Amino acid sequence: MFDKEYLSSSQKLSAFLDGELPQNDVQSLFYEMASDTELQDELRTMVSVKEMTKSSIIMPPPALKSSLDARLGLDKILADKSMKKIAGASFFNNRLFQSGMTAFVAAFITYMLMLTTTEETGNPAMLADKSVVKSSQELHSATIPVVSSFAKNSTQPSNDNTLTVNNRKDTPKQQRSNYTSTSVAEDNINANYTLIPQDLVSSQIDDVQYTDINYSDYIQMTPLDKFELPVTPHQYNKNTPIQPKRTEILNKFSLEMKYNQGKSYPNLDIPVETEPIINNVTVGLFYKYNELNSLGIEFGQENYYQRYFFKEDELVKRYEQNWMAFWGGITYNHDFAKVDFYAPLHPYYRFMIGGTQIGPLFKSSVGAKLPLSDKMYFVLALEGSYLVYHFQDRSYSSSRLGLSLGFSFGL
Amino acid sequence: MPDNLKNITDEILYGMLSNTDGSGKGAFDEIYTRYASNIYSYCLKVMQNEDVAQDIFQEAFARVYESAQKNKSMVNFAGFIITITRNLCLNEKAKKHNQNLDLDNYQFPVYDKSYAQKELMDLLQISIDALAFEFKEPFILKEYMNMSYKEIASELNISVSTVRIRIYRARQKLKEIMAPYINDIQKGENNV
Repeated sequence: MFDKEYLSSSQKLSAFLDGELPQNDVQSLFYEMASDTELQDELRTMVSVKEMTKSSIIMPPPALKSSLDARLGLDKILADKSMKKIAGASFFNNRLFQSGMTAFVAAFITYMLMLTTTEETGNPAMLADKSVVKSSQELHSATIPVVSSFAKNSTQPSNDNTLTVNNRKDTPKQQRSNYTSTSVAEDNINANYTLIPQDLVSSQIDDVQYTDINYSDYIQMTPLDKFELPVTPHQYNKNTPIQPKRTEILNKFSLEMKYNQGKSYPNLDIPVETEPIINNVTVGLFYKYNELNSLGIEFGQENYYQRYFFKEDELVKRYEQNWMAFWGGITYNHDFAKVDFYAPLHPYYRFMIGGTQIGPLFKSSVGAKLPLSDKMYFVLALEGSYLVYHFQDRSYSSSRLGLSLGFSFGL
Repeated sequence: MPDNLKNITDEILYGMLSNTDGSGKGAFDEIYTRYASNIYSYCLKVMQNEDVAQDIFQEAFARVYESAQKNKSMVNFAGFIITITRNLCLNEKAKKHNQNLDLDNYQFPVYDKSYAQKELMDLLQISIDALAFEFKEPFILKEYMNMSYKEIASELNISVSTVRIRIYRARQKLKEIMAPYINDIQKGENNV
């Protein structure tokens, strides 16, 4: 091959190592090397470099194979039965599975936190229910008989024979007939003091004396006053159904505006196509259906990097862009117990299921609200988004991680 | 992986890729097993950027699979896949205008005499990365893809003699950088 060319000894060595030196030249090279120590050293060095180069071959990351299979639609095909385990492993590397697992874990943590809150501090929702019953409206309109002893600070049923049944002026006979067969209910005014067993009431019922009670005196001394709930005089009228006031409904709504600064993945270096004013802004309206949980609708605009492949002119082409997505969805919000950390913080967890023009969008965030006034909060949250879209029979996804900050206004 | 696929040639495996049953997937897995590390190493060395190398690596295998859906016959599969990979790399380099390191002016890290094997490997990687592309490419094709001078010449559209010279020069550059360290190791081994 190299007969007509002049090759230096060093060049012959290189060709020899590659198995490309003709047999004649190999023999002459060996003769030369036998008497040339420098050439021997050069051979040793070249062999070492070659061995090191060979050993530096790098295996691709396993995730590349899963991703390649998914792209070619091979992840749904099993080569044979022995391949099932491998296919199972690739399923666990699937991004959809990972995002589903993330949502499940987040929901589980939320549930556990709710349980913890209930066990350790008492369910605030239950406290809230009690306060509702305590209100003058409920008190005067209750149809369930409330038997109370007003023996102050007594944890035992009172020995005082004087029992009071609401403030209704029924005759003793009517009351006896009405209430002896009724379980004694807990008087929510003196909830901690006045629960009386029914048998005790039955034994005392013959000696009942009825007195007119001015409830406002007792309401003022109730332990529930610490909640500072408004107690207003109310005229009982059983024919008038109780309607929540319009302001009470509005109080359950809040409006939220946030700005999101984040990074979209896959990580591409492409400028955003347009920059309208509302880009990266989120607007939400939330309804608090109990003390801890809210439902809301949110919408906004964000940019997502996209990388997908398409067939054109018998070629597979890759397309990359920084797409501006207008999105909207339904959000579930769970508030955790208030944390006093330099300032009273209200941590929360939020999960949104929504959509864009091209596919579903999932958002999840963890954050905290800092009250600035009775009706206004500063909101700061860590937010993750996952966009799924479909193109030419293949599914792709983009994700986004960022920091949201804004304000929440009570209505 | 079914054992029976291991004895099948690349070209027959390529013909099986278009099968819609499990054998198509099995053939693809076998081809992947045979070429993944070489192709990936080639992409990494040529592009010197892990993200870009991964993209090209995936694209190369995807194109092989897509082409097999139309053509069942293949004469030289190794040449085919390296041609696809090389073209993708060259296109990407043309787009990015990748900065090549100047080997003569490059400041190599100074290692302690007690350098470990890993440090030596790192030094080799830096040295290969720093080679001029015209020398690096045939060298990588030879060392990573086990291609003959003739195959490399055909792939790069240059003469066999040029291939030999370029590989030799690449090797000389690496030897210059690595020799002091390798000699230290060899002396150490002799003393033991």
